[in-house]
Amino acid sequence: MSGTKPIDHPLEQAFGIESGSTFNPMTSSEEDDSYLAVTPNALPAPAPYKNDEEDLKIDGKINTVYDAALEAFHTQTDMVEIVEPRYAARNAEVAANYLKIALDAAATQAKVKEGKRKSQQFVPFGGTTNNLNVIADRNELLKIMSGKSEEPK
Amino acid sequence: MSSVKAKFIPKNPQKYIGNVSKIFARSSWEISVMKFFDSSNAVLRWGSEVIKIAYVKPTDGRVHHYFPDFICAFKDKDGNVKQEIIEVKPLKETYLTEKSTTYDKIAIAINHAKWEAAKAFAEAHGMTFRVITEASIYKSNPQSRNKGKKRK
Repeated sequence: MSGTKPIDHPLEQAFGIESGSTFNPMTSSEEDDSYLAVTPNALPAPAPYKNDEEDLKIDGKINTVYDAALEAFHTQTDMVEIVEPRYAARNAEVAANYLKIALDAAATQAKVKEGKRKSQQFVPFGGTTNNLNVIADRNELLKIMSGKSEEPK
Repeated sequence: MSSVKAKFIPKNPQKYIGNVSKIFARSSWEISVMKFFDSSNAVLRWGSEVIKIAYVKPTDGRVHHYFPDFICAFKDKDGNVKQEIIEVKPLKETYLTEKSTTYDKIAIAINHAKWEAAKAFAEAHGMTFRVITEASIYKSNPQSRNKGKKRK
């Protein structure tokens, strides 16, 4: 067993285990991080997503909309300076609409990227990664627990 | 979003059932229980989320699968070897109170459905099922242990 100093662990009482049968798993402090192999969230990052042809096509379409909308916005803002004041407000309104279209295009692009990033992350069991690493069926596992069988190789 | 929080490396890997390089803890309380299993002489074998139990989820009436936190074999005070299926849960998620929110009530209902299935499974295999709360893990002032806060 690791550690040399037996301790009275609260779980011994809960399990009805003889007290003092647990060796202090701690070294110097209560929080012994030597048990933890990785710092939280330091698991290997998924491989970066590579754009395929379809992705490029979608990106291209969104970029076209963005560029056209932004160009129209600039035209409208320029016109605000030169048209009669009574029409300026309407021009500014139209320019704002173009800006909104450009913003929506940028937001869509960001959404698409986010979707790609999420699709890269494999999340088994509906968001939970379980520690199912025993290469044996359940009956075999229960036999191991009861000491009736050797652990599978 | 992955719920994996921290990888646990046992100091006595021979006691662990499964792949010792892939043991994941989801909360500080689970880490405490893992440390206990790993360091106690009385604990003979243990595994984390190694069995899958089917249960009917009360919210949709469909069959889902439940992975109890731990399975362990240990020697009690009288020298009898016992096997248990163990779930670690905060005390407040184990029973209804007047303060329970609707969300809590649903969570408790689902938990109880899981535990009923686990209990039946345990009984069928000569084991017992137990829910461990912070009250059992820590001697006093359980709130002082990060309140079971999930590691981020």
